[in-house]
Amino acid sequence: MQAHDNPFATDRVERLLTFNPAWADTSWPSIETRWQKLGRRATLTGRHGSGKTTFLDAWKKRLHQDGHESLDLFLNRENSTLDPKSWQALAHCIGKTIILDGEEQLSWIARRKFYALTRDAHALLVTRHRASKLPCLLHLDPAISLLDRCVQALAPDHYDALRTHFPSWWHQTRGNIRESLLLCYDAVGDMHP
Amino acid sequence: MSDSLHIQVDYDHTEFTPGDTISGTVSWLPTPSTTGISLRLFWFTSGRGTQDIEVISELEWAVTPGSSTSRHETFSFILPNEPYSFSGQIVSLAWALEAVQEPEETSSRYPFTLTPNGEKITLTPVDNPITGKKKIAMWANARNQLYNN
Repeated sequence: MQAHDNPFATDRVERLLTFNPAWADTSWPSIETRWQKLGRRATLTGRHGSGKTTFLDAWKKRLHQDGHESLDLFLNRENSTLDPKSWQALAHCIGKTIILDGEEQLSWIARRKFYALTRDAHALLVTRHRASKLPCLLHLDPAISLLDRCVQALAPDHYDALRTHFPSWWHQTRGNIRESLLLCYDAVGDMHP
Repeated sequence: MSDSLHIQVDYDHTEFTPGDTISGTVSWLPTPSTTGISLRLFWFTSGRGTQDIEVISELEWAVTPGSSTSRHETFSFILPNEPYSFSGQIVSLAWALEAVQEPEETSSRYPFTLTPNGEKITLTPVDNPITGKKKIAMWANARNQLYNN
């Protein structure tokens, strides 16, 4: 099977699997009420591949639809520092919503600088694997049933052939939805070489 | 996809080569909230990894809010030398024209290929020079071990 035909191609997964608050037993009004209650400064927590970035994509879309301007920053192991341009943007962030995906990648000094610069921002949402000094807006802890639902939505024709692997893949990836869907990609590719 | 937004190219084929001109017409029927139409020439990858996208050229037409008259505009782009379209098991690269209606973000897409001679490029497994085995097979074996652990 060619990559663009694979139902688990990353771009297709990102396009079709937009965040649904019901996955975390909540709703958008409930999340937004808590967001306001926390003074629009909060953390989104969850393990690797639990849906944090997927949540942020949906959250940003809602912010932009409401006319808010956001400054989006992304860090991971390969790219663990903010570049000078990002620091410069943070120095002029009054009135903006700052979204930092991967806050725990920042060094202690960089983190201090980050929080000092964002003190006057309109809002601040960061993602981490564990709780931090900011209160938690939402903790994502998906169960294997979510993988089941995702596969049914993405590839109903392959669901029966894949479902038997779910428990071992879930265990192997330590409950990482993203990695589990990549194993689905590989398996479907192997089924149709 | 949108019924009110359409890309019509001046050709009856979808295979192009570097330096070719791709031209045609974008037509649309605006909704009351439509403020503009943009047309992008771009390539994108699809597959197992993070998606790469590059917009090569973009045209924009402003629409008077409240206008309800259908409209069409012509376009013409000269295609660059690279990257070539290709298709493999791990990743594919495709070219397309995409018209987007703002702010609704409804869109219409015209996919095409860009290759040196207009023929499709398909990536196939290659022999490992040391073992003689297919590289993709080695990769698959490693993955199978991962499955079975």
